[in-house]
Amino acid sequence: MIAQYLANGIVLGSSIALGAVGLTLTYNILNFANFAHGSLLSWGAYFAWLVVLVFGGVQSTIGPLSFGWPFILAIVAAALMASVLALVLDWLVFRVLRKSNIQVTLVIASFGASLLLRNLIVVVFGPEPQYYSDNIQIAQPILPGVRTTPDELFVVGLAVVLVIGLHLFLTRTRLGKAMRAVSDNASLAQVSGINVHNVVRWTWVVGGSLAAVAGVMFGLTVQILPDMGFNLLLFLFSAAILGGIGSIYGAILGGLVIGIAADLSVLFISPAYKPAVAFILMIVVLLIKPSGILGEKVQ
Amino acid sequence: MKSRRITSSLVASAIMGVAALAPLAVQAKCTTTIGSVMALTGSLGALGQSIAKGAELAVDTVNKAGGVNGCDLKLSMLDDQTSPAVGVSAAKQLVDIHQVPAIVGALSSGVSMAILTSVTAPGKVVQISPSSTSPSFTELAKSGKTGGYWFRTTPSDALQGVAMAKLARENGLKRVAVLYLKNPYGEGLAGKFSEYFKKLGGKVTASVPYNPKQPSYRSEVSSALGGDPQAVFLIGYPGDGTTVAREWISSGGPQTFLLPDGLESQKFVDDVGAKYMKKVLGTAAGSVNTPSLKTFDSDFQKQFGNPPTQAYMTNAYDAVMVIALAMDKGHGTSADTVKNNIRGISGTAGTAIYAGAGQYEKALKLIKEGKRIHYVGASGELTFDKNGDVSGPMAIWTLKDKKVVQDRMMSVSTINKVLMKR
Amino acid sequence: MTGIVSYLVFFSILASIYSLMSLGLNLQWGYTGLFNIGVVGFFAVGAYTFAILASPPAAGHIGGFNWPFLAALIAAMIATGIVALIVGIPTLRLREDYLAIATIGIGATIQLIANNMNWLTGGPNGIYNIPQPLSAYFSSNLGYNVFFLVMIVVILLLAYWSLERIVHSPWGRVLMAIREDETAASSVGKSGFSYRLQSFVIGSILMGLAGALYASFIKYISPTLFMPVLTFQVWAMLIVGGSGNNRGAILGSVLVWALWTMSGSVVQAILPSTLQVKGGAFQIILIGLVLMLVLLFRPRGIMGSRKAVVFAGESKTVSGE
Repeated sequence: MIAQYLANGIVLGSSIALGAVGLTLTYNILNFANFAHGSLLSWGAYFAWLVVLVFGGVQSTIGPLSFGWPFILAIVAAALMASVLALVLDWLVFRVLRKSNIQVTLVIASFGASLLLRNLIVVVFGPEPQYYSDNIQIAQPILPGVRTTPDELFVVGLAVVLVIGLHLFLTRTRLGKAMRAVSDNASLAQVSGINVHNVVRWTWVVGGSLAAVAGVMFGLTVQILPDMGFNLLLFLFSAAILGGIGSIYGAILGGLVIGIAADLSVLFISPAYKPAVAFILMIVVLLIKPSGILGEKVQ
Repeated sequence: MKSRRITSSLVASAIMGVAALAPLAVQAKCTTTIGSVMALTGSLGALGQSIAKGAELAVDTVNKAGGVNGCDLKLSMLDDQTSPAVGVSAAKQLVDIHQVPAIVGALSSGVSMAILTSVTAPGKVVQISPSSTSPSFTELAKSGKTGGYWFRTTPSDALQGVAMAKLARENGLKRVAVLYLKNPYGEGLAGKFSEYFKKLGGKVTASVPYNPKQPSYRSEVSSALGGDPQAVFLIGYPGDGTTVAREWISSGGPQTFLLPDGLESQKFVDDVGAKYMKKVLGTAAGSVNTPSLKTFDSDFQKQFGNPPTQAYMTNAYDAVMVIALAMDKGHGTSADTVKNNIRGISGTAGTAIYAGAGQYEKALKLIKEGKRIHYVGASGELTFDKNGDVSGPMAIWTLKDKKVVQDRMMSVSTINKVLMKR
Repeated sequence: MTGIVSYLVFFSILASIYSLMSLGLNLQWGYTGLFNIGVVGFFAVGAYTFAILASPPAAGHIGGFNWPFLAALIAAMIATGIVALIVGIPTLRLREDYLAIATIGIGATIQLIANNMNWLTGGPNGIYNIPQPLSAYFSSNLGYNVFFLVMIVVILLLAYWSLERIVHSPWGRVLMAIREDETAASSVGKSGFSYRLQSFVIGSILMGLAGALYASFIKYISPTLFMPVLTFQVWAMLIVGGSGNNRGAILGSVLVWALWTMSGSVVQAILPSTLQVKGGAFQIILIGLVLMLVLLFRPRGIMGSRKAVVFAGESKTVSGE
């Protein structure tokens, strides 16, 4: 039984991890807790749904998966569109507010933006849940006591690929190195000739894309819902803080820990308290190691 | 200086607010306005947007048949965002500014109760909820605190829990897992079902609550699967309920589903996939012997271009219909007219009136002749007891050719026999 | 016309309850720089404590203590203060964003407890039959509401006056000094932790008081009330009104609550009937839009204290611009 809950937790955790990476990037580089990040997840899922609808005629599927090549296209398109959305949001709202230099105003504005974006989905797509496919995959045993569906394995695999890609991007490319530099120390980075504006733009693109992919993953394994991203937001924040704010690898680890802990907790307490597990775990970690698991030194 | 700015801002905002509301308070030459507070956004938003259509269809039907006392019926509908604080404010606006004598709503028991205790009961305005099933309302009514202004067109959970337990045993099920939404509806129904299923010799293998709007329900389903159940009694609404059902199927759970009225929804069945639901045993308040439901279905299809797919739409329809008929019967539009005449147009005495504009015209004619009528709703017979609760037979529904159909009934006496069992 | 008066009385009572919360938050954020985003949790503790102690016996959960109004009100404030102490002691020593996350978690956890610990809170069914003070002496609903409004305005003014007194006292000056430069303040022997804790507890007690008054006025509470959106409402009120200014906190509460509740009627009036059921979504979009516009054009809020907010912001901002 434990193995099954562990597997459930890994599937949940890998989507949380991708969402949390985007959140921790914006938190660190733009220096505010972006409540609208959840809406990027939701919009990403709906963008992909639109693309899947357009290619509705394509019935062939890839191997045992529930979807065909249009879905891969949909993931890419969703990432692109969510990035554009993030950039527009930044240009219209956050760019202006950043100048006034009041952190909490940005937070409140992002909450306002999340209300707006979430309800735009309701107006455009309706409030009912949607699914990428009408077919339900029946979980198959892959290990003794562990059953998963092919789609769930795909989700975990995709998360691993993206994390490796992100790692290469941050360590091997000029832009990635610049992002890390700004994240470490914005003023120093500026002095050393890094174009901070450019880095801010790419932060939105990377964060938005990962959020969109995370949204599509949830849509694939759970459901597509206007407030799916908002409901996940507290999990994402817990993951980002648990791992240590600003630490990308910490966010990934935090996501996995939160996902696994939430699912494993069902063994000990009523599932009704499941959402609280993430927070309590986070507070306990903070009390023991205030900078988070992989966080830099305390400021 | 600053305090003057506050005062002027306050005055300005008050004027703004009133100015925004004032045009609405102006009545057309002959319009009777009733209010409605429903969850159009928030956690019950998806459900509410559908249920609201049921109420709108009823308003349309009444107006097609000539309106209430010859006046057009208008429904002022405000959103409660599924929040009690917003809900009471919306209800208070309807009562004070729109001057409505009756409110249809709210949907969630938490919002309905807050409106009842702080707005409608003290303000002496009729409130009819189409979907609040909490037993607390009966308790409050018994203590006299509702003033008789509270009604609901959905039966309490007790009846349905008993009916479902009986139905499951009749179908030879011995071990059933219960997965229920953690709200008054889910908790009440799960409790009653477990109690009587055990009395009838069954075993509840696991009773697992789930919170709404969770990112994933895998663990809940995994723990409900422990104990090797033959079937699952899934309590909730389409949306989260759909996701839990898909998760159940995906995790390899037995494809025998016991489903309550909250999931008596074609949309739910379509989204889950009828091919994955080998056996469905459903209960809902209602009657298969009346033409009301058919009329409702076809009128709805005509009005909105798609068939009704959601539980409680019929309950919302019936709530508006009984308000309108009570106003006709009492030749007035006041809250007390509605309150005092609701029982005079429902129950079982006199001529039966079914849903639809033609039947409504017939009702008006009979009322004019001074004859007793009783409205048989699309949601079933409506007999309001002194606490404003309805009781009636339960309809048993299932899937035939992937469609939700009600195929037989469980009578009140059958249910009572089980209730008596010790 | 009486209808409009009656509605305005009702509206003002709820706006005053929100004002108490935003005053509490203003002490925490505006004067001390404590980022509390679990306002709803403290509001809930106050509401439930009051409801459990003041109510007559009820089936299914503990109760039946029948405490008098004032005693239950004070107990609610004490209970909230204790919870604030429990949250504050471990977290106020840590980096400031952690208080934020801890309070988010506490808010959500308290809501879960309210929904699931049936023996204590009545579970999803909530607590009904909560008594109103002196309600037997009034025959009309409007008359009673006017009385309740007078009572709550007196409480609000008392809270406002006390807050003004303490923030301008030496104690308040230490608070602001700590907020602006903790090292300097502690070098003259003022423990930042102890002052922050006091401010956090007092602010939370005001939120608990608001919860108790809400429970008494509405006479019914249930877990659906205590959603995170309530915390956001209070923050929006403080930010729109202007943090670091007690009058701004009250003004913001009135304006934002008016926007929140009256926009429904406005949207209903302008939308064609075919879009009515989507009116709720349009209403929230409108709220989000107005809020962002206010922030764009008046980032310090309507009556924001220039000094207070700038320092609170700059102390933690390393802007990308």
